[in-house]
Amino acid sequence: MSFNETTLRGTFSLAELSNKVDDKNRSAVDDDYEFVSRCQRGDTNAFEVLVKRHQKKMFNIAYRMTGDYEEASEIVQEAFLSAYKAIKKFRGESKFSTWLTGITVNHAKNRLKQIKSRSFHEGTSIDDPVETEGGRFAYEPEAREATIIEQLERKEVQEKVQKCINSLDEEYRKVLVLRDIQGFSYEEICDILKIPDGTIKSRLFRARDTLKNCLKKVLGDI
Amino acid sequence: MTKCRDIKEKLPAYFEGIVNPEDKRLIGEHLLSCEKCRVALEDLKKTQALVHNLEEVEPPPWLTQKVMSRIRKETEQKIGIFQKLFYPLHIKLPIEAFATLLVVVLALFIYRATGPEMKALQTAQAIPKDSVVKEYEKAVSSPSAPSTPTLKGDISEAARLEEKPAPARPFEQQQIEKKREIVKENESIASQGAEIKETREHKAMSATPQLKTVASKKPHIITITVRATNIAVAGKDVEDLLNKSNAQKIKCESLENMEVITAELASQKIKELFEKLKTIGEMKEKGTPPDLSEGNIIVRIEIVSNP
Repeated sequence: MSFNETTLRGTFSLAELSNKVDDKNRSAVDDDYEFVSRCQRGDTNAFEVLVKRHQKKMFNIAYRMTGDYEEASEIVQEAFLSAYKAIKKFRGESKFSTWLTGITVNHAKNRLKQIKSRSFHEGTSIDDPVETEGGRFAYEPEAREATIIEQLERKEVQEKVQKCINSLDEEYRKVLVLRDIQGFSYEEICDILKIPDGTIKSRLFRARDTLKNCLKKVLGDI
Repeated sequence: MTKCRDIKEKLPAYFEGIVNPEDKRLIGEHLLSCEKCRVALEDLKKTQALVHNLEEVEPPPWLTQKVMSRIRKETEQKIGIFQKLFYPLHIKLPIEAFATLLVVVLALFIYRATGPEMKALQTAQAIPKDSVVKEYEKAVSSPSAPSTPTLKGDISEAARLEEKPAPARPFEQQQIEKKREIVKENESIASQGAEIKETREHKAMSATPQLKTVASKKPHIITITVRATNIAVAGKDVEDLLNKSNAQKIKCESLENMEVITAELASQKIKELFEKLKTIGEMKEKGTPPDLSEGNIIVRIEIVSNP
């Protein structure tokens, strides 16, 4: 019995088998693969699962990039909507979360541009201190043992750190948020931003150095 | 020798543990002896810690709901149009296919039914011009001089008048009406085209080259206005002049306060005629001066009273 006969007698052809193996590998690597496939077949409920899974991370990326809660909400909505529209084009070459992060970062970048041009026309600067409304951090986990004063101090420090992040150029801010806040690997950042590893490292070095100087300025001794 | 600047550049990688063992050893050795670089590393660690310790922010609780409602709205709109057009597939697809087929068949039927008539109409359009020539030949020209150039000139004039119904003098209006009648007659003949289609096609084929030669050799028309104290006397003088100049097809017409004489004349004799007309009365010439080297010219002399 020849190999071809064996193949033909089986349930799948070689191509089908190879596809099956690919699919299995992908689903093993990417937890979202099954839901993504269902979305690609038009299942909107599957997309809801993906939204619930990733909204917090995407929201935090958007928030750290803009320093504005409302803007971050808008950015995340737009990013998910874009992702849903383009999900049929997603071929699974990278993880879904990486692909989604790329979309979110792009939306945040565009929103920053809009804000910058708006503040330029209105005469205010994006580098102005970040104003937070009361209750803005109501969702933040409370440190049970910390006293109110400690909480306020911590909040103040965090606001200052965010202010320093806001003062960075957009290209430095992106890498800092993705690497130092979100903990993406260099490889993942390459995938997300579509820039070479060397560029990421040099931008990160510059971002950290600028941030350190800014923090020294606003906090005194770090 | 290791420089502080080089070390500082490598500190982030050293801190992250992604430097090669050789660099790691060199940096470690340098840090033991350099206070500045040790402080720089400490600052880096503290900065990293501050950034890393930024608390996660909770997204608004309505975010998922809002995202999904926007997505569902978008999907409904998309499906809505598609469903309207095609769903249920087993009912609408056959209907749509049948309708498309019907439209195609109808279009073909209409084309086949009207196609030959359109062709007949197109060929019939060529015939009236030919008929106009013959009819107008009978109506205008004298039987002694059936020269083609005259007719050609008049045809072109008729066509011009058809296109431009400008405020005309009584004589011109009569001419226009006459020619319009002829054209109408020919159009009615053409409408019977379906029956005598083949004969006409033949006629049109033979008429087309003739018309082409006619158009290429049309005589020029000059209108001359002569102001004289006595119109009748001047009219006779002009007629004599034309006879002496061997003009052909002399035609006189008396209108109210005006005598109109048309004639066909060899172009070489035009200058001579002009000179002689000046002796009869004040003369005014209309129309572009013709090429006097060859061919005939139609002269239209209008004699009006001198106020």
